[in-house]
Amino acid sequence: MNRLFRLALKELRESLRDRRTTLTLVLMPVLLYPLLAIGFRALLVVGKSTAQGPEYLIAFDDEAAGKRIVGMWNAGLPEQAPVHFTPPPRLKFLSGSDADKALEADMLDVYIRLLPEAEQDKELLRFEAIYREGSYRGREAVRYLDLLTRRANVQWLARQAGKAPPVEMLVREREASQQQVSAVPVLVPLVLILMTMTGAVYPAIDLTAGERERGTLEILMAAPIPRLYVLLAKYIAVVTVALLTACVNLGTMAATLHFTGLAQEVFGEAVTWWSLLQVLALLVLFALFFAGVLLALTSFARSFKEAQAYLIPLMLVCLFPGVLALAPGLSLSSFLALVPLVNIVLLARDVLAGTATLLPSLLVVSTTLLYALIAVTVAARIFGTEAILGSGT
Amino acid sequence: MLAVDDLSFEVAAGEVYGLLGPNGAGKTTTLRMLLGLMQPTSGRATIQGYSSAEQPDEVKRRVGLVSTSAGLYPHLSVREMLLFFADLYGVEPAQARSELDRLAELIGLRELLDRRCLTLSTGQKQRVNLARALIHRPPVLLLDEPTLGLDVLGSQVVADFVTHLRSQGKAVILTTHRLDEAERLCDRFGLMNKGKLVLAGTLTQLREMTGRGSLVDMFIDLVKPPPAIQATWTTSSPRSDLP
Repeated sequence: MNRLFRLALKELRESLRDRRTTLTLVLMPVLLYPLLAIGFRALLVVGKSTAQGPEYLIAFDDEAAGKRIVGMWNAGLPEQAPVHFTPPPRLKFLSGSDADKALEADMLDVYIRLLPEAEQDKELLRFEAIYREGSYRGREAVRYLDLLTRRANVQWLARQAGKAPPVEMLVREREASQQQVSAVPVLVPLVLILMTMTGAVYPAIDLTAGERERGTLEILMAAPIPRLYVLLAKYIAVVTVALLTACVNLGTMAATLHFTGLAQEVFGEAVTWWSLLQVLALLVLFALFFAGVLLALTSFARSFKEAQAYLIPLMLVCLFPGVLALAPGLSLSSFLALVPLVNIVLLARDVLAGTATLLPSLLVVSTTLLYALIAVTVAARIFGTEAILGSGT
Repeated sequence: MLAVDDLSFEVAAGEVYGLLGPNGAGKTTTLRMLLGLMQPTSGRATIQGYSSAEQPDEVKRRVGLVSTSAGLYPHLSVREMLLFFADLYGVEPAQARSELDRLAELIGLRELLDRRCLTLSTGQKQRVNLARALIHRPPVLLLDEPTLGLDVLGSQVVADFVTHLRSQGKAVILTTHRLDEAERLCDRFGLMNKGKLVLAGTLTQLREMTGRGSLVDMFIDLVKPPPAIQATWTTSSPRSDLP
C-alpha cells in the first residue's frame, strides 16, 4: 500500500510540476467564471425583459397633448392589464429635430407628433406615430400603441352609448402544474464537470501515452512491480489532479456567484456551503469515473498525438449528454440516472437547487461507481501490454 | 510474424555477450522476452535459474535494462528519478542513497543530481540511464543499443561502464550497430538475422567459421541481399555476314 502511495506521489509530482497542468488548474477557472458571470447576467436580463414585455421609449412633440393621449390610453386599459403591456412605456417629450436624431440613433422607439391644427377635428385628436424604417422595436411599439388607441376609442364609444363593450378579452397567466426548470442552473454544474474533465485530460495522456513516447514505460514495466499497481498509481494521480481542478473551479465559481449576486438569480436562493460540498462529492464521483475512461483510452495510444486524437471524439461524446441535460424541464428519472454524465449534471443541478431526492441520488452514485470500476478494469487490461510496449524488434 | 526463431545462447557471469544483427533481426524482442516483457510462443529463458515466463518479478529484480529509447521523467530531478527506481526495485532507502552516491561518483553524476532531467543533454541523460540500470545492483545487464545517438565522449562513457560491469562480474548482453565497438567490448558474439541466430562464438571462432577478418565483413555477408539483376556473359566472334 505504501509503495502504491509512493508511486502515486511520484506521478502526481510529475504532473503538478508541468506548467500545462497548472495552467488548466489555476488560470482557466480564474478567467472563465468572471466571463461566464457576465454572460449569465446578460442572459438573465434578456430573460427578464422577455417575460415582462419590452419597455418602449416614446416621445411626444407636445407635453400637454402627450399627457392627454396617455390619459386616454390608460382609461382604455382594463383593470387587469395583459402581461405584455407591462412595464408601461417610458415617456419623453422632445422637439421634432431632436426626435429625428433620437430615432436615427435608435435611442427612441416611437415619436408621436400632433397633426397640424388644420387637420384636427373638434372632438378628434389626430396624431401620427413615427418609427424608424426597419426598426423591429419601433414597429412593435406602434402596434402596441395602435391597440391601446383602439381600446380607448371602444371604451369612449361604449361610455357614449351608455353600454358596456360587447366583447372584452382579459389575459391571465396560469401557474404551471410542473415546475419548469430553466437551463441556466444546469449550465453551472455542466461547466464544473467540463472543467474537471479538462483538468484530467492532460495528466491522463502524459502519464500513459506520454510515458510511452518518452521511453519511460518500458523501463517502468521492466521493474518488478505489478502492472496493476503502476496503473492504479496513475489513476490516483489523474483523479487527484481532476479533483484539484474541480476544487479550484468550484471555489472560483462560488466566489463569482457570491460576489456578483448571481446565486440568487440563477438558483432562486443563495447557494449554501452544504450544497457546495454535495456538488464537490459529485465531482469526486465524476472524476473517479472519467479518470478511468481516460486511462482506458490513453493507455491504448502509442503517442501523445494519438491519445489526443482519441480524446477529441470522447469529449464530443461527453458534450452530447451534457447538452441534453440542458433541455428545460428535464428531470432526473430512473432511466436518466443510469446515463453517464447526464445523471451527474442533473443531480448536481437538483443539489444546487435543493430539490435532490434520495432514490435517484443513490442510483446515480452506484451506477457511476460501477462505470468507474469497469473503466479501470479495461484500462488495467490494456496498460503496458506487449502490444502497447513493442515496436522495436 | 515470427520475430525470433530457434534462438539459444548462454551468458556467464563476468562475460559480455554481443547480440548483433541488422534492423528487424529480433534483438530487442529477444531482450524483451528475457525480461518477461513479452512471452515467447515456445521455449524458455532463465536468468540465475528463474524463468522469465513463470517468475518475471524474480527475473526483473536481477536485471538492469538500458534501452535504445529509454527516457527520463522530465520534471523529476536526477536524484528523485534514481531513488524512485531504487524504490521500485525494493532497495531500502538508506542503501539506495549510498548506492546513489557510489554511482554518482562512478558515472560522474555528482553535479547533475539536483537538476531536472528536462535540462540534461543526450549524453548526460544516457549516464543517468546507466545509473538507473545499476541502482539495484543487478547481476545481469541488458544494454540495448546503449551508444545510439551518442558522440565519441558519450560512447566512451558507455564503453568504460561495460568494462566496469565485466570487472564487477556482471553478465552483460549488449546489442549494438557499432561493430567496432562490439569487437572491443564483447567476449562472445551472436549474429542474428531474420529472427535466427546464424553465427555464434568468440571473435577468433567467428573468423575461423567465416574466413572473414572483421565483424563488419561478417555482418555484410550476413545482410547482403541477392543481386537484383544477374547476367551471364559469353564472348563470341563478330558475325561475318554483317556488313
